[in-house]
Order: sequence, then C-alpha cells, then structure tokens
Amino acid sequence: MNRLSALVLRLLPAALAVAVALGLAAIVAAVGGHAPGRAVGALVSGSLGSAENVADVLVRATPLVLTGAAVMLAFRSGIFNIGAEGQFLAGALAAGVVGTKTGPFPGQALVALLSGVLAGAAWASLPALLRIRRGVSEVITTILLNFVALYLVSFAVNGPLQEQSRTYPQSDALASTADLWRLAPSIDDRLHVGVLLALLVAIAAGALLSRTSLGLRLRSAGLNADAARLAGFPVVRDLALAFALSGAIAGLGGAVELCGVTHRLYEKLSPGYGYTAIAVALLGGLRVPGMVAGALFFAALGAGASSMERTVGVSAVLAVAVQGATLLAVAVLGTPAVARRLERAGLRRPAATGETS
Amino acid sequence: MSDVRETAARADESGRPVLEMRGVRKRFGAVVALDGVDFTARAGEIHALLGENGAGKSTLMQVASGLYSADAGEVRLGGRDARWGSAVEARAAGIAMVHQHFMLVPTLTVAENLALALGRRGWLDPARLAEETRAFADAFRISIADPGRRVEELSVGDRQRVEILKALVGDRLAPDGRPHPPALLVLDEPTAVLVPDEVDVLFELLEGLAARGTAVVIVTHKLAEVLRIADRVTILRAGRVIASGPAGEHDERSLAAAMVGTNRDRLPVAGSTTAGDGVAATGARGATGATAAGAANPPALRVDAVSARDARGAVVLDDVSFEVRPGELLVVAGVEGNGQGELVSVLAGIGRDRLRDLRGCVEIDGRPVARASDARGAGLAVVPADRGREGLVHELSLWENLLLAEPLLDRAAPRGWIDRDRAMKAAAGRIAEFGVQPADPLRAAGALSGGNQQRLVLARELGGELPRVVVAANPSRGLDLAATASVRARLRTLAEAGAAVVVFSSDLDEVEELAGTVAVLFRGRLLRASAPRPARDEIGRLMAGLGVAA
Repeated sequence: MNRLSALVLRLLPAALAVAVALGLAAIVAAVGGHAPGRAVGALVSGSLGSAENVADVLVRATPLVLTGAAVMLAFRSGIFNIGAEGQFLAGALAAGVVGTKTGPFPGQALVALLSGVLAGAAWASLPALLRIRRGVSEVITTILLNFVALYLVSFAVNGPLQEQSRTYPQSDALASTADLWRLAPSIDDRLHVGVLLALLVAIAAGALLSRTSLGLRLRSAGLNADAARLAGFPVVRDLALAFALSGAIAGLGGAVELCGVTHRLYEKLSPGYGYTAIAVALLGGLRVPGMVAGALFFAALGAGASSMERTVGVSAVLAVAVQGATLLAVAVLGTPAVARRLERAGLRRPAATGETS
Repeated sequence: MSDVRETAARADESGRPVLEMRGVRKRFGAVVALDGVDFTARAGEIHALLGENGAGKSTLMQVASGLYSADAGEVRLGGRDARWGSAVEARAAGIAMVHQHFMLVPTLTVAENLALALGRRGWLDPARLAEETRAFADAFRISIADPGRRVEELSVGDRQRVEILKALVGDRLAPDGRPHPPALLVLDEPTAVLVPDEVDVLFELLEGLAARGTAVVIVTHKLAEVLRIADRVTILRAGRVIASGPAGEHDERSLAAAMVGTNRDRLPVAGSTTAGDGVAATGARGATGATAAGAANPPALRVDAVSARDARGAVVLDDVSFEVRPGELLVVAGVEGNGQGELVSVLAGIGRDRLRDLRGCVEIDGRPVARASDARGAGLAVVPADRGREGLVHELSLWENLLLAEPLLDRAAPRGWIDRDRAMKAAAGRIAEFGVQPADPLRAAGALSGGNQQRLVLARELGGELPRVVVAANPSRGLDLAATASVRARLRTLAEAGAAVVVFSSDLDEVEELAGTVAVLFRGRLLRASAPRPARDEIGRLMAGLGVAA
C-alpha cells in the first residue's frame, strides 16, 4: 500500500467524525427552529468565505497547532502530558515579563519567544523530575500544575505585572518591539509570523520523532524504559528531554499568542487551548498533517460559530457542542471494535501499524 | 501410571468424545489460520496437539474455549452444539484453559487471583482466601508460592503454576465446595518454563485428571514429551490436520517429519551449516569449539565476585565468578528463578537499575561494564529472558525495533537522521532471514505472536555483524522445532567464529545440544560440575539443588 493511501486511511475515522459532527450541528439547529442548511452554510462561510475569514482561522489555529504539537510529541513518547495548558501559560507569563518589563530594544520579540520556550520547558521539567525520581504519574502532576500556572498568571496581572493605571487585571501593552511581524497587513492586520512558525515547529517535531535517532530514543524511553535501558540508551536523559521539549513547544505557543495576538497578559488568555490540544492531537492520529488539520477544523468551528450567531441567530455555543460531538465520534470510530469492522470492510490497515508516518 | 489411567478410562465409558470439532475455519484478515480442521478429544485421554509456530494450534484451542468464534464449522462439547458466546460460557460448560501468555492480574495476590476466578464476592478475608488457596493447591498437588504474594513478584515458573491452579479450580465447585475437575483441560505450551522435575509433577497431575475422566489437550512442540505422555496425537500444519491417531504409532522422527513437512526455509544458520546437520554434528563440533580457542586468549567476558539482593532484600546472586574466552560457549543451566534474570541484567549493565547491594564487577575485554551503554559499546548482544518486556517496544514498528541497540542506531543514523529507506530495506532482509511473520516492517512489534517476537529479538541481536559477547536467556523459548534447532546452531556458530557466548537455559535438551562448558545456577550461586561437559543426570541433580554442600 502506498504512503498516500495509508495516510488517507489513517485519517478516515477523523473525516467520518467531522461529517457526523456537522450532521449533528444541522440537527441541533433544526431542533432549535433554524434552517439547518443555512446554519451549516453560515458556519462554513464564516470560516472560509473570505480572505479575512481564512486569516482569522489561521490565527485562531496557531496556538492549537503549537499546543497540539506539544501533546503529540509527549503522547508518542509515552508521556501523558495533560499540562500543555499550564506550560502555555508559563510561556505567556515569561514572554509578558520580557515584553513589558524590559526594552524596547530590537529583537525583543525574539527574546520574548525564547523566554516563553524556556519557561514552558521548565514548567514541564517538574513533572519530569517527579516521574523519574519518584515514579509519580505525570497525568496528575501536569494537571495540577495547570492550576498553579493559572493562578500564577492571575497573581501577576493583579500584582507585579498589572498595568500602570491599575484599572483592569491585565498587564500593560507590550513594547512595540516585542510584537510579532505582520505577514500581510493589507489582508488582515492580525496575520502574524507566528502562524508560519507554528507550522514549522509542528513539522520539525514530527520529523524529530519519525526521522531521527533522538526521536526513536525519546519514544523508546517513554514507551518502554526497560527495553530502552537494555538497548544502552540514556533513558533518564531522554525521558527528561521529551518532557522538556513538549513543554517548550507549548510555552512557545503561549509566547506567540501573547506577542502575536493579545499583546497584553491577562487571566483569560487561554480559553483552554492546552486541553483542546489533546483533542486536536488525537483527532489527527498523533501525526502532523492530521493534527494541523484538526487544529484548523476546531479554529474554523470557532470562527464560523460567531458568524453563524450573527447571520442565522444560532448560539455560538453550538460550536462547542459540535467540538464535543466530533470528539465523541472520533472516540467511537477509534475503538477496536469499530476499527476491526472498518478493517474487514477493507477501509483500514489491519491492527495497530507501527509508529511511522 | 498408564495402567491406572486405562482402567479408569474403561470404567468411565472409555473414549466418549468430549470435544468434537468438524470442518472448523478461521481467518484473520488475509491469513487463513484454520482451514477445515477436524479434532476430537475423548474422555480420559491425553491428546497432544502438535505443530510449528503459526500452524494454528493456539487458534484451534481458542475457538474451542470461546475466545474466538469460528468462521465456519461445528464445535460440540459432550454431544451438544457449543458455539460459545464468550470464554465465560465455555468455562461454565467445563472447558478449562491454561494459556501460554499468563492471564493473571499481576497487581493482585495469588489468593486474590484465585478468588477472582472463583467469582468470590463481598468481603474478602485475606487469611481465609490464603487458606482456601492452599487447600486447592494441596488437593491438586501443585506447589505454589506464598498465596499472599503479588503475582508480579513471582518467577515465571511460579506464575505458571498459579495459572494452572486457576484453570483447574475454575468456577466449577462441587456442592461440598471441593474443586471439580473440568470436562476438558487445555494447556498451551505448559512445559515451556518448567524444569524436568516439575514436568514430571505436571504429567502425573495430568494423568490423574485423565484417570478421573477429564479430556486433556496439551498444545506443544516438544516431541519427547508427546511420546511420553500422550495417548493420541494430532498434527497441524498451516491450518490443516496432517495426521491424527494413537501416539504409539509414532516416533520422534516421524512426528518431526510430519510437523515440519518439506518447508524448512526458517531461521537460517550462519555459515554453511543447516539446521538438520547442526543437530547431528553437535557432539563432534562442540568438542572442538570450546577448547580450540585455547587458554592463551585473555577472556572476553570476566565476571568477578558478583553478589546482589533483589528489591525485597533477598540474596539473588551470591559471589558469582566466571570467565568466557573468545570462541568459548558457556551454558548456564538452572531452574527459572535461581538468579538467571538478575545475572543477565548485571551482564547487560542494567543491574544497578533493579538490584540492591550490587557488588563485584563485570568486564568486557578488560573494561568494566557499569552501564548498558558500556556493554553495548563493547560489543554485547543480549537476548533477555522476558523478550516482550525488555527486548522490544511494542508500540514501535518492526524496523524501528531492529535498531534498538545503541551501536545499531548510531550506525543507521550517523548524523542523527535515520536513512529510512536503507533501514527499512535492511529490516526487510533481516525479517525474511529470521522468518518473522507477518513480514511487514511497518507492523507494530506488539502485534506479533510470542514466537515471532522472539525471532525479532534474535534477528536484532544475533543477525548482524559478529558480536564480541553474546548473552542469551532461554533463546529458543516459544520457537518451533526448526527454528529451535537453527538458533542453537547459530549460537554455536557465533562461538566458533570467535564470540564469547553465554546461554542461560532451563531445558536439559538445550543444555546438551549446545555442547558448551556447563555450569549450574542454583539459588544465586554458580555451581561447577565434575567435568566441563557433565552427564545429564548430574546437571539435573545440580539444578535441583541435590549434591550441594549446604
């Protein structure tokens, strides 16, 4: 079987899930007394109808691509990093300190992004240390650290980082040298260079995992430390590195969102990107193309939902319901029983194929 | 013993068919596992089901016990139609199965696993459960470890005995609460992890059950055992019945010929030796193998006064010292659980990760081995005892698993980037050479059967360039006849080519066939025999701890 058709088959459950989800959206709209065709139409045109709308989707997808890449790297390395949210916030906080408390100076944006990377890595290193030294499950530690990060940001914007005027719980606007480049100001003022950066980082993360010896070691160390140790790999170092890399990518996401979109630090900076990222990564089968597609789909849902609310009057909350329905459909379509049935119908490669793209 | 059985069987409407299977077919995707198989097991008989890896033995028995449903054909138990909806139904109807892969909950104790099998509910008193477990074990004359121990802490041999006990007890209790033997007992490769004495005990047990009317089916590829215990034998090859009839009509040669057929393109033997004449030439070539290397060579592997305790503080290695020169083959015989796994860990440089109070030193070519990367860097190839857990990463594909050793990975990716096409091509060659099935390098290793996982580990560790030191634990476990012969021949060939080879084995046939210098590991101590190549009896006595000055 050639690689392209293998890819198509791997993404088939996701595609089916999207179709099921849009169908559900139509039904919910109909039940609410709206024309289902118009509602879905508004959902689609609101996300793809114009160059500005597409730019909006790309900007919304960026934090999801980065946190999604972070989750993908962790999950494929046998690490259940549920803490992309906290690492994202840690990255944003660090970038916020650099962006508001230093400068302005040329290259400040770069320094802000780098500090976001380091903060994210540091935030993920704590669970790494606890798993390696004490055997504490990272599922628990990473989730708990999400709350710590959230309240740390809250403390910062109510205290040391609060704006000079002390009006709102938010930081001052970043120095202009900390803003990210605009890619195409004529089309959409919000389209920033972070969009491209996110894509490059995601591709690099995928290549690292699938194509390099380091990637093979990272995956071995996390999935089966005993076998990796017997192979002579430096298991402790590799495991710590996988945590740190995952956190670094999520932290970069926070810094990019701050320097590219919000330009200020505030409590509700993330509507849960780090959690949606888990869905995004799993929707895409833990592979880069699928993950990016998943991020775009969720971003499009968000963008389309606002437009649907304006034009048809269906509440934007419906988009959240569609997100949920999509995940449910993926979960069902991904279960072994359904996978076997698809396989028998010749729609899918048999059983779990290896960790290759 | 067989007289007793015959009388009992006659009394019990001898030869009444218990399990009848007619024209059973089963496909997995494109693979036809069973292609119209007829099989009958009768009350009071011990029936051996023979065949090579992938012949369909396990699949057939899994259809019988309700784990799989047949695509076509008829399954009858005691004359009634028996297409089980589940394994639970099959058990309730009197089919007990002992699986090759252990089906115990590792985090529960022995007694708790038994309580689970018995369907005990409500308040479970550990003391009473333990007492009950001991009573069952005594009733079936199975020696089991402390019922309060967690299964994950037990040796492989102990686990298997718990597994057998669990199957025997099942959920079929007579009204007086005594266990009631099942109508059909199926054992999948039951002797793979047992030592000779334990095999005797098991066989006595099986004969006793048969005498009480149970139909016993053992799935195996050990021919000598079949001839020793089986009343009848059925041979499967590639999903079809090749022969079925009284065991007395066969000898080892005819059984082997029927099992293997003409298809001998399995594990290759390095050099020009073929699997067949490798076995025949054992004595002569082995005799020169070890000594020809000469005492002039400095040892490639030196183990000096290694002692260690396990996590619970028990001494598992006690002052073990030995040397192996290039070209020498050392066979360390021993019953499972006498320190083999621990010694393999120490030799591979990962002892520190799992043992306490590790003392002494291991050197390869004079350089100390403190970590696995030292050992691998010095040219160590290691086939671990638990290949599924230590030898492979199940989620990774076959080609990636073939790179799981530091020097191999470094070579495949000199600058960090893996040349995928080249690695894939090399993997495909190695997979074909060692007969790993299915031969798809992109398949996940976890999807392989046990025997094929072993082949994959062997392909990685023994298939490349000549290692400096080879450490192999039970190298032929789970392999079929042809593959077993060729892996043993390959180990000898590697030694002849100049590697220092250490093989751990609990199988006396294997110890004999490898024809190296023999030592015995007993309770963590390395015992020397009276001669480099002692008689079978002596090895057996040493393995059992007899003749050891306390």
